[in-house]
Amino acid sequence: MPCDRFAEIRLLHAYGEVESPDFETHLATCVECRAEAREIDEVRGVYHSEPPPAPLRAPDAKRLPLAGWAAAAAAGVVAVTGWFLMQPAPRQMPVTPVGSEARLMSGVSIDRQIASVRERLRILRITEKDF
Amino acid sequence: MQRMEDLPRRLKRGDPAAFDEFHRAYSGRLLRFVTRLVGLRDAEDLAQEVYVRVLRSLPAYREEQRFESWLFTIANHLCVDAHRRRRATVEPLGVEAPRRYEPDWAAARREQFEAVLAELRGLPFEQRQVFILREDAGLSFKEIARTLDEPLGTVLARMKYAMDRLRARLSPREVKEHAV
Repeated sequence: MPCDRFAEIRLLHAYGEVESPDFETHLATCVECRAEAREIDEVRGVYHSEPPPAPLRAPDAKRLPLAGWAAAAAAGVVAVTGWFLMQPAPRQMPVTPVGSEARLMSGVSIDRQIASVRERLRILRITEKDF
Repeated sequence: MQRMEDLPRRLKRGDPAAFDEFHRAYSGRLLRFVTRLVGLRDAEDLAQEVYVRVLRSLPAYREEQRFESWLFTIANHLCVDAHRRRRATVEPLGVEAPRRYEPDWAAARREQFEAVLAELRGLPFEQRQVFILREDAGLSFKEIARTLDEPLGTVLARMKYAMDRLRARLSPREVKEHAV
């Protein structure tokens, strides 16, 4: 029969989100609660045993020149688009007559910018999978 | 190397290096979060949608908020929208994981991991959502309650049911079916 005491505190305690001397006293004597705490730790240990996710990035440019190009392009587009997306009221950007990125931003709608970054990131992802 | 704590401020300033750093730190995590919450189908498109929404919303980010909490709250909202649009189907979760397995990751551990993922996939969306917000996004239960606009007790109940199922999968015993 599972222990029904400290119902809400048990999970908070297992995740270190609460301190409860009363519950800790109870834990020292309750076999069920100790087993639950141990099993929660086990689930979390198993769940986080997978290697951390890799960022969406391209492989070595020397080995796959196309993927390297995609990485550089995507990194550039991410930076440019990130900057672009943050500008207030970005309907009309000032025209800056130097650099391809500046020209890219100056007369193109935000939707096209977003479509562009999506496409570049999609290319990037595909090349990573292929690799 | 600047500190990650400064990242939101540098992003808001429009520092190009910060965008690259943000991409490296969060793109993989966002894709995994989306894949596990709503399934593999369209996960990359959805992750990119999250990415764009986050960058677009940066001016509204307040520095007293925890950045990851803010970030994954946006991701969660977009995932909920996607889930509502295609409620009937949940694609397999973590399908891409085998490609990332490390050679020294013990087979037994891998089996357990796959069992946990399979069980997670079978949970009701609301339970899976709380579990993933806690475990993958790293939100506290109070943050999850705020994000979902639900009482803390409801969030904890969903987590308990999710955790009971996952525990039972690893340590088979009597399991009750729950729905919150």
